[in-house]
Amino acid sequence: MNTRARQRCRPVVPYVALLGLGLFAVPAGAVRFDPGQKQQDKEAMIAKLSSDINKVDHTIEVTKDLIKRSPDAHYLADLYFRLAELYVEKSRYVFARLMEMQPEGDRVLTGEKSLEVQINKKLAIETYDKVLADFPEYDNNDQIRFFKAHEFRELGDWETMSKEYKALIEKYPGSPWAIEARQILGDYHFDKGELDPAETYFQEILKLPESHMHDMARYKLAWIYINKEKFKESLAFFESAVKSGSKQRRGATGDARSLDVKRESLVAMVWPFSEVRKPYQAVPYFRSLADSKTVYVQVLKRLANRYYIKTEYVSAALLYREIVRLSADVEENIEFVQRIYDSVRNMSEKNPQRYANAAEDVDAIVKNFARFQNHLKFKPEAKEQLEKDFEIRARDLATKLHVEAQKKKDKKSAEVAAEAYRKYLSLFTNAKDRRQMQINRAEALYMAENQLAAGTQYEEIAKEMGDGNERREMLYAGIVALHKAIIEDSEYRQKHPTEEGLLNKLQLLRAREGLKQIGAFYVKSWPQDKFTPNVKYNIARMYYQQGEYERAVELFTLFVKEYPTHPDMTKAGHLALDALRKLDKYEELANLAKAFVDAPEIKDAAFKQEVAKIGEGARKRKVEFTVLSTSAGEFSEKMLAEWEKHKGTAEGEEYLYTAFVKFKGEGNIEGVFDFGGRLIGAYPDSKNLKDVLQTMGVFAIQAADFERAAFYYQEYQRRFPNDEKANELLVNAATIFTYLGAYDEAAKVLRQLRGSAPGPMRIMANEMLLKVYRDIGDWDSLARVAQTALQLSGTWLAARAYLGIAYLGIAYAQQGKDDLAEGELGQAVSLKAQSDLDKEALAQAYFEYGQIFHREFDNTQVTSAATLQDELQRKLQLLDVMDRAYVAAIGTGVGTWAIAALHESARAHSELAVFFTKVPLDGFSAAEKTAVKAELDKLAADERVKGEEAKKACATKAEQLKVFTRFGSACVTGGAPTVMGVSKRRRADVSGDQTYQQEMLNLRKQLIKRSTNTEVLTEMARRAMQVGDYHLAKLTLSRAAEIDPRSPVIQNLLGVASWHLGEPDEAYTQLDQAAKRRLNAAVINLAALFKEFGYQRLAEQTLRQGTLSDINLSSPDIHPSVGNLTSDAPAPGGT
Amino acid sequence: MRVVVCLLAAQLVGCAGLRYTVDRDLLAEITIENKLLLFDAENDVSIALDEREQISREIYQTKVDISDAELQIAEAENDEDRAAEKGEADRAKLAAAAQQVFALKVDYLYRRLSYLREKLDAQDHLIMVAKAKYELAKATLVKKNNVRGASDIELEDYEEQVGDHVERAKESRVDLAEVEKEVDAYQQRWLQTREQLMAQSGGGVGSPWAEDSAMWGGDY
Repeated sequence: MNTRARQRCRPVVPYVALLGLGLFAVPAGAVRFDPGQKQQDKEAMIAKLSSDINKVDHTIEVTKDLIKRSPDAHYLADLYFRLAELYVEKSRYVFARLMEMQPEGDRVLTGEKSLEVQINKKLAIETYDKVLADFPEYDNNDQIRFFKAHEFRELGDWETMSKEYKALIEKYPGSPWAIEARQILGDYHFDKGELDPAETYFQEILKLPESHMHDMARYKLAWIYINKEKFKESLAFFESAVKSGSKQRRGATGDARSLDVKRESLVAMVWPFSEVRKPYQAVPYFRSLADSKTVYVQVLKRLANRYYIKTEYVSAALLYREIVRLSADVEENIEFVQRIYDSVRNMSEKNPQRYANAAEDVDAIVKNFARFQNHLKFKPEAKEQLEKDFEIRARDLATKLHVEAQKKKDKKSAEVAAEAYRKYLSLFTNAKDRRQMQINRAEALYMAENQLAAGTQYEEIAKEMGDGNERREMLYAGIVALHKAIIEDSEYRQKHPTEEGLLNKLQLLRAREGLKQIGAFYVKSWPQDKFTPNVKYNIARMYYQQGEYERAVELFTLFVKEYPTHPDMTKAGHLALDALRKLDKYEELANLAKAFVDAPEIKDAAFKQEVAKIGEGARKRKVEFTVLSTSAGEFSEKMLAEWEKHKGTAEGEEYLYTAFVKFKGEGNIEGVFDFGGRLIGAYPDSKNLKDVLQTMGVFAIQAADFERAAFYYQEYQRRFPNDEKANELLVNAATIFTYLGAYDEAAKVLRQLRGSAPGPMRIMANEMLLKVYRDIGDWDSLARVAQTALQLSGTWLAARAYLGIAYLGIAYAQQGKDDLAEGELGQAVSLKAQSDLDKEALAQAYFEYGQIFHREFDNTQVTSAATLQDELQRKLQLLDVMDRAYVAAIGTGVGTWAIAALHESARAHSELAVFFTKVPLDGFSAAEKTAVKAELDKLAADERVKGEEAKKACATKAEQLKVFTRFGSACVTGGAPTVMGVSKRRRADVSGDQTYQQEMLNLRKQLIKRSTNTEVLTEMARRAMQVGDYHLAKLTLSRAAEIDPRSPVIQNLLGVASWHLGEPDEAYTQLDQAAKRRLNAAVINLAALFKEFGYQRLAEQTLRQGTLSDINLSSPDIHPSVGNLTSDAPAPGGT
Repeated sequence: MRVVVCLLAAQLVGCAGLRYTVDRDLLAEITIENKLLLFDAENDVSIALDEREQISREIYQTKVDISDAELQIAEAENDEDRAAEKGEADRAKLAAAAQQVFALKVDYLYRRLSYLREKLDAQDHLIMVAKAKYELAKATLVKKNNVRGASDIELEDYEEQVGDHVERAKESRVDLAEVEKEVDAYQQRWLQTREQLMAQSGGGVGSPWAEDSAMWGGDY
């Protein structure tokens, strides 16, 4: 048998000594008493065993007698079986008595003494044989055979034993006794080193259904494979023995001692495990298999020892750590801790993980040493020695790791080193190197970026020190660490706003308070140190960060004062101001900003500039806060009071302007005018005046105070001529003046714009100017403006040349300068219209062009028969040119000029017809006269037809287009027009008396309170119309129509005002809209308008939709022309 | 009659010392729109209570400041002893001066504490004014809405009640202004002496920066 296998394997050994060698095993535990007592006990035992032998003898006799008396009993086999058992029992008692009777220490029976034992065993074997022979069908024969074989085993007759067991297996292969027999035979061969037959028996067991012997078979097989050096298979059998579902832990029958197979398997599998698996797998592997901590630790110990012996230090250390962690055996742990340390020391220097477990190892040292120290079992000298040893080892492990961390700049290692130091410091409180270890720990923590702990450690060191430089250094290092902790936390929070910071609230508080307090001590102790300014700055920052703004202001301000050239000075200054802002102390903020600006010792110009701006903002904010905190009732009063307090200062201006803005936002016209006026007066150069003037202009329009609005707009341009809005507002002013009929003022403003505005606006100003003069019929001015326009830049010429030429021609034509007009108009009609205004000008240009020839046509008469031919030809040529111009005018689609052209065309053809009939024929013969006359009559008839057709078309078109001009009127009447033309009214022609002015003022005051009050607006318009100020009325009504565009009353008034102003087309549009809304006044006014322009049919038709019965002719809502309707209708109701 | 006259005002929660109060049940029938009128008065009571809370916090903080200042005196005494032991006469002198400065600070803080306590009393009067006005507002509202049970309410009583409390509050505020001036004088005295100390120490002890130095516990 393999020697190694024998050493490792502890197979079941029979407890009975081999009879052949004269040996019997002595029952354990029989010799533990003192000699006197022992002798007595021995005698008592011999007496008891003798008594037992007597009892068995008696039972044997009784059984024998019973056998004799029961020859045919069915239980006869049982009686024999019982008898055999009694012989076996007796042999044991006899053996035991003989052993007791042996001298002390003599554990061997000689053959002579064992004779009685052997006789009894033989008797038993004989009895078993009898049963087997006489009762071959007996149920317990398998058991009998097993017992018989067992007796041979005890007698040391191995051969017969083997034969008997084999016979049992053969005869009863499935019997439980046969399984046991296989087990015994397996063991028998194993012990003899016959591994293959042994394996066969154990494998046979495994082939049978699971039994109590299976785990044992697996266990034995595992050992067989160990001996065969098949570790993988061996591990598998051990593992299956441990893991099997069987709860049985006992060994085979007859085993020398009880055996916990599972436990034994677990312990035994260490060997194959170490050969097959990796060390790091051991902990989880055995933890999963072991059912108790004790077994688990026991297994690990075996494995660790194995690795340690094999100098596999990494693996050994790994397992010893686990053992030390779990084991409570102080003495053993001390040894293991030492082995851990040795393992680490013996590990390869190249192993990067050599000191990775330093913290854990130091912890093990510390804990086990603490236990050792507190154990009564150990002597003080041993404790003292161990403390020395372990202090060195713990220090060594921590510092080695620390050094490595420093070399590799490894944050993680530094973290572990710091933890190792912490463990060290927790126990070795009196070590001479403690201070250094504390400093090392602080440094390791700092390196591990655990700044708060580093700061705290430095602080702790400093507390234990006396005054001096070293203490200062420690404190400063602490401040730096705490500062860094706070900064890193803050940066992290900024990057991850939804997450918790690196420090929790308590840690953050700890860091800030620590920095403040250590900082204060530092400043007190070393006020002139080079780091003191930095410390001070950070103290102030802490107050700021903690929301103690008042203190922060005090300290930051002091910092700026003390260190005006320090790099952090600007930040301190800004933070001081910001702290004040956070406290809403804007006055103090502005004052502090000013103090910074005024401080000569501060040289940073950029800082001063920024601070000045902040101060200005603070003043504004202060004003805003005053506004917010002032109730509506006392607002104006409060603002004026503040202004009075700060009169002449920028702050005073802020109060006025803030109040102005508030009123503007509320639409409070009165407030806007009040504070706006004060601002203009008190701060004429304020940049806020842009907003003020513009707003006041808008509000003036809302209050129907149009002249005032125009004034503000002009004022804006005057004060801010280069502002981009200036010209735009000036256009507004010109528009207002135009609407108000103040054409001279409008022209003045437009001329100003034409001179100074940028290109597109200059073009617009020119166009507006042309329109103004055209509308008011100022032909001289129109000609001048057109000429000027044409002399303007190329831009104008390119874009709007057409308009200038057209209007110049029109102006010449209106002035009777036909020659000049012909040239310009001839050029104009050859150009292309680009806008509505162009189109209108084109239509008029065509018409006026036609009129020039029309006038010549009219003047061309036949003076004599001799010139008849030429004159007739001339007339027809003129008619042709004229007609083409009129047709072109009609073709423009501009109603006014199309109707005018139609009318004039009709007139020309009609007159030509008359001309033909009146041609003198004095120079012709009679026959010629007749022929010429006939020809002329024919021509006249043709022309008459053409004239009539044109006239009819004119009438139809005029009624369709509602053209309210003298031509339109002439067309619809078919003869003379009912009106002789219309012209624009100038406002300068009218004015109101003082009462009127007062009334208007009162109405405006009402409007100021509510600018959307259309009733007040219409009332103002009526009053204006009553004094003939139709321009103001129209403008006021336009504002009312903006607010309420569907009001028929407003539309009617607008119609009446427009009619008065010589704008019958617009009057028609407004009156028609109002009439459609069934306003009687509008219906009547519209009928009157139709009648005035000759639309008799439309007038009658319209009149039927209304009534004259309640019409008041003196009302501004009724146009005076309504009076003309009374002759065609029932008497009106009003006067 | 649903008007509660509090005879044992101090002992009755809800009456809080007012002679005339209006039971809130009377407001049950009044619409929310009308009750809006009460909100201002109710808000004034809350503001007055908040201000009282603020003063209480200031009192607490002042007590903490006193204890810190006393700590500073102890620290300065320690400094003096250590300096004397080391034979550093200048430092010892500075530490002695620091003790005086901190003693002045303690004086000032005690004055401030007294002032705050009086201010707290005055604030109690203001709270009573706000409460009286609130009751008047309720009384006016129930009268105006002719709520059943309001006929017995005499508005004059409520107005008189407001007047009484306003008078008392005014008196307490006048006294307070005097005390405040005194406190300021003490504060100035302390700050001026501190300024001198700061100059002597070269910006160390006595400077606002070193105000919390004693809290670190740097003694060894």
